[in-house]
Amino acid sequence: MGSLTETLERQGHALRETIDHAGFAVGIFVRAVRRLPADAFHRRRFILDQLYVCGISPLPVVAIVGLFTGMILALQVGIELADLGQAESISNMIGVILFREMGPFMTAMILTASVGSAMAAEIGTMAVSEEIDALECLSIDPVSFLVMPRVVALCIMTPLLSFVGCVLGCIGGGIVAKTQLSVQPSIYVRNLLTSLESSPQQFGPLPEEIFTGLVKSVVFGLLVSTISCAAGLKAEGGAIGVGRAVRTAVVRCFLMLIIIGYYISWAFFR
Amino acid sequence: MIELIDVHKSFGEQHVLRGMSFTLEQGQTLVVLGRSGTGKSVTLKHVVGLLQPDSGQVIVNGVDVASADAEGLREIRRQVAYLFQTGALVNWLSVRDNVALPLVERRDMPSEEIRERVDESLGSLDMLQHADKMPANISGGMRKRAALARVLVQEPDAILYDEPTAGLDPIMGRTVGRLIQEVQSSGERAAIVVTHDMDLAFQVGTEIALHYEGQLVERAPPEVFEQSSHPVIREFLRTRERPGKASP
Repeated sequence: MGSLTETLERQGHALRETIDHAGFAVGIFVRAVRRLPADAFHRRRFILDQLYVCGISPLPVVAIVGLFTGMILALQVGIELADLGQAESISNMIGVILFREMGPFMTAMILTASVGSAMAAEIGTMAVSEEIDALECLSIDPVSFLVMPRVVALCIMTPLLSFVGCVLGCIGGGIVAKTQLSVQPSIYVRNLLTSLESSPQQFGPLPEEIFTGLVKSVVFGLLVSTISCAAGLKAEGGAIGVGRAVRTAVVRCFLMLIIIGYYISWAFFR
Repeated sequence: MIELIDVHKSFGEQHVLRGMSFTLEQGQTLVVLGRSGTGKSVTLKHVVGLLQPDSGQVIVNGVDVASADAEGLREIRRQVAYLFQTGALVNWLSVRDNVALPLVERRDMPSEEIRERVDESLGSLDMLQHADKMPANISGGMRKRAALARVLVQEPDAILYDEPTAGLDPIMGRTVGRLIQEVQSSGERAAIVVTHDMDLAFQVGTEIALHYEGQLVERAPPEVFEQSSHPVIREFLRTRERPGKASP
């Protein structure tokens, strides 16, 4: 009986902590957005720094993962299509899968692992070494100073990186289509463009697939930056606390990406 | 200028402040001695509103810190600066940018004036030649001086020093003590120095008090404090007489 009570108590405590953290993350996101008009220009230097950290540093990884994801997709799906005599349709599938789903998700996963974890560690270290308290003593809002530039940077860079990853994935798919499936590049490109142009809906100049992917990327950028910064700000208890903050940030980002990703797809394609 | 009235603060089961009361006037340098973990830093954090009391009042220049709005709190933090134990410099900014930070954030000061005040502040602490270095590339003593420059550039009415000599060798500790003496020499500023460094306490304090069981006890000028019969104070004083042979 005692152990059941203890288990329930632990679970209840964990649930309360999760709700508390979610509320905190939403709170700092709202504060960051509210500070944006007044502080964006004043903090332009920090925003530019973060654009580099969030956009240029992870670019090689996104490029390589994008290229090879396209190649794997082409290989796996292409073999099945070739058996059905439909190898030339490979680019239709690659375009839709990459732009709509895989590109944004894959990019957000890479950014979580590389940039989000670094954000949680950096801010977490500041929190446990009283640097956040020091900022408050200088009447500097830590959300405006630390969180807002990171949120802005990831919101801008996630869709751009995702687009680059998708384009490289299509190129990788094209290489496999030519070398393994004997699909001519001209046919591959024509089918790819046709599949994107023939979307049932257009959003301005963008086909639905690309538009959906970009919306997802922006939302993913918001999620990764907010969750990671919130975990860092909540860090306490020295080096162990920083490690816990990084783990919390990565796990929560992964969970939220998959859950929110589903609901965005549902909203667009139900 | 700073007044604590019957302040109580608990963290879970731990009752850290138990009716803490004291006043501090301009020109006074109050040294607060106490063993580690007794809540000395907690007391300082109440003064600048980083912590709120469970009960009691913290008054700075006539304003109740707990009930101050955002603008009021900002004004209190302009008047009372806090020197953190580690310096707490922003790691990705150079020493110069760190010192300029509080002025840049006010957003109403011309950049030329900011530069002049930063150079003056760094120069007064012999840090001008290290102004363009990053905090990670300077020694602990220099970081403390840079943090002190960041405090001084704000021209505060009072400074809270949290373990200013912690982690420094005795020579650098004495240097920091001299810096505090210089800063306080004008007689216009109030200061609270939290420490367990007895040499520093007697070097800079106009009054010394013991943080004991959540209250300040035995507050007195150094020459009187030295005669106290309080057992904890006697133990502290023995560490001064026989450095390195303190009781555990």
